[in-house]
Amino acid sequence: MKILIENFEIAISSIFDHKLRSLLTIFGIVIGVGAVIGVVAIGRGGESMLKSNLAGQQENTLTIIYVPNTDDFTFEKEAPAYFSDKDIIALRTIDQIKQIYALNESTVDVTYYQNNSGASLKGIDRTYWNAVKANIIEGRAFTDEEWEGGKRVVSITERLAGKLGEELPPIGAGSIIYINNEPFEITGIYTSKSESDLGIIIPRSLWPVLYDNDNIQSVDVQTYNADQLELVSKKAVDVLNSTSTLDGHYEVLNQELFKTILTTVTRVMTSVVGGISSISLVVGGVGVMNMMLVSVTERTREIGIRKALGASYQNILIQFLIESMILTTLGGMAGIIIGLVFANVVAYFAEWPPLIDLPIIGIGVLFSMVIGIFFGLLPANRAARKKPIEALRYE
Amino acid sequence: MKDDDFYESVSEAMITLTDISKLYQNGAVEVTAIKQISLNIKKGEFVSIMGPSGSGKSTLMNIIGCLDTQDSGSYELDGIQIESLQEKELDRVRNQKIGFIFQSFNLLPKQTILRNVELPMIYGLYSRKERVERAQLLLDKVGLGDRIKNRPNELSGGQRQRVAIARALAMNPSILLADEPTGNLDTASAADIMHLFSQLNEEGTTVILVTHDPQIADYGTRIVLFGDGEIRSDVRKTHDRNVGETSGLTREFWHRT
Repeated sequence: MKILIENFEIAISSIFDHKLRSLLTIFGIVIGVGAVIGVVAIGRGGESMLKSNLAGQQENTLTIIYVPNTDDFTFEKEAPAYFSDKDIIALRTIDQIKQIYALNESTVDVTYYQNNSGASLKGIDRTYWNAVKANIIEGRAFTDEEWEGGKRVVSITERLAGKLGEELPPIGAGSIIYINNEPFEITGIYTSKSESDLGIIIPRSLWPVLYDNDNIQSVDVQTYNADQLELVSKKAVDVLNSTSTLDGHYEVLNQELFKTILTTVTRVMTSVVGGISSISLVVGGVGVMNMMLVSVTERTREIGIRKALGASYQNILIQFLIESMILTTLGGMAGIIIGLVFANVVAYFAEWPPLIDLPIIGIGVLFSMVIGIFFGLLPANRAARKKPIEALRYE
Repeated sequence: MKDDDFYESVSEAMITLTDISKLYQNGAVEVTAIKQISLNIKKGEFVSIMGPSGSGKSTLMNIIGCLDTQDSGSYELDGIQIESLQEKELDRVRNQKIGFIFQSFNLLPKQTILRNVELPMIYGLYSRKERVERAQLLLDKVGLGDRIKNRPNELSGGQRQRVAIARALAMNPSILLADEPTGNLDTASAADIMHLFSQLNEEGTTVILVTHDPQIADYGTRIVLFGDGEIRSDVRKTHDRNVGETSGLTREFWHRT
C-alpha cells in the first residue's frame, strides 16, 4: 500500500516533468471520453425531454384516434379532423370521464408589418387552456365570450412576440397580426412549459375562420383515476363508433406503449452513436500506449538504476501502470467535463433539460482507469522486464 | 596474523567465486569476458580489482553485484548461493546486500538528493520516517547534510559521487561495489572520494573497487590484477595504507602492466 502511494508521487512528478508530452498523450482520451459522454448525455437529455413532453399530458389520459379505411385517406395541408362537437357531447355521457381535451393544430404564417414568422397554431377550448397552465406575462387571457367565438383574438408565446419585433404596441391598443392573411388581435402574451416556442393559441370556435371545417383533430379523455382507463377506453370507442357516420373506426392510442417505444428508440440510437464514439477511445488508448513506450525507452537508464537498487519486476510494472492510469484518468476527467459542457450547451439551445448524471461520471472515470491499465500494460511490462545490466548501459 | 594465515581462513570468506566464466555476444562478435575466475573476499577487506579496459574486470564486478549472471561457476555471498536464487530473491539481494557505485553516478536527475538516497529504502519497504531520518544521517556523514533539497545537477561531480555513496550505504549492505568511481572526477575530488572509501573501510565496510588507474587501486589493501579475463596476481599490501606509499611487491607488478 505504501508502495502505491510512493508510485503515485513518482508518477505525478514524472507526468508534470513532461507537461506538453503528457498533454498530447491524453489528447485522444480527452476527445474519446468527451465524445462518448457528450453523446450519452445528449441522448439522455433528449429522452428526458421527450418523456416530459409525453408526461405533459394530464394524468389518467387516453388519446382517441380515428383510423380511416384506405379509401378515406386524403392528403391535405392540415391534419384530418374526424371528431365533431356531436362526438364530444356523446362522450360526455360517459360518467367516468372527468375532462375532455379537444385540440386542433396546424402550422401557419404570421405577419406583423414587415416582420414575419412561421408559428404553430393551436385551437383549443377553455378546458384545455386550464390544463396548459400558461403564464400570462402581458395582457390577459380570453374572456368567456371570446372562447365562444365572439371576437378574433389570439394569445401568442413570448418567443413569437420577440420574433415579430419590439415595435408591437402594448396589448389592447390594437396590435393586429395576420395569420395566413387573416387579421387577429393579440390579447395576451404567455409562456408555458409544455407549449412550443413560436406558438399561437386561438379559441377553437374560431377555427373555421382559417380553415374550412370546424371538426376536431384530436381528442384526449381524462378519467378520475387510473382504474377507470380500461373501461373508459371501451366505452368511448363504442360510443364514437356507433354515432359515427364515417367508414373508419375509432381506437384508443396506447400512450404507455408509445412512451416505451420512444424510450427504446432513443436508447438504441444513443447506444449506437455512443458505441461509434467509443472507437475514438480505442484510438486514444493506442496513443497512450505509444507514448508510454517512448517514455519507457527514454527512461531505460532510470529503470536500470532502480533495478540495481533492488526494484523488482512488480515494482517497475506498477510504477508505469500507475503513471499510465493517472494519465488516462486525468484525460478522462477532462473529457467528461468537456462532454458534459457540450451536452449542456446543446440542451440549452434545444431547450432540453440539462443533464448531469452522476453514474455517467462515475462510469467515465472508471472506464478511463481501465483504459490506462489495459493500454499501459504492454509498455509497463517492457519496462519491468529490462535487464539491469543492459538498461544501465543505455545511453 | 601473518599473510598466509589470513588467506587460509577461506571458510570465513564473505564472497566465494569458484570457476566463474562469462562470454557474451556483442553483435556478431563473441567476446570472452572472464575465464574460470576463482576468488575469495573476506569481510572488512578493501579489494582493488585493477586492469586495462576490456580485461573483464567490469564484467566480474557486475556478476558480484548480481546485475549480471555468470555462464558457469558458482558465486556464494554471505552464505547464499546466488545462482540458485529466484528473480525476487535476487532483487532482495541487490537491495539489501549490495551497494553499487558507478562511474557516471547514476543518480535520478529529477529528484532531490535526499530522495535519491531514500530510494533503496523505498524498495526495502522502510517507513517514510525511517527513510528520511536515515537518508539525512547518511548525507550528513558524507558531508552533504545541508544540501538535501538540491538536485544532482546542482552539485559538482565529487558531490554527486558522495550522494551515490550515501545511497549505496542506505540499506547497510554487506559490500560496497565501486566501478571506476573516480573516472569522471578531477584529481582533487577523486582523492576526496577515495579517502571516503578508506574511511568507510576502516569503519568496517567491505569495499570492492574496480579501476584501471594504479593510484586509485593503491587505496585498497589488496590488489587483484586482471588481464584478458584472468587473475594475473592477487597481492595483499602491507599494513601501510598511506597514499603514495606502496609495498615493493605491488610496485613491481604495476611496472609489469
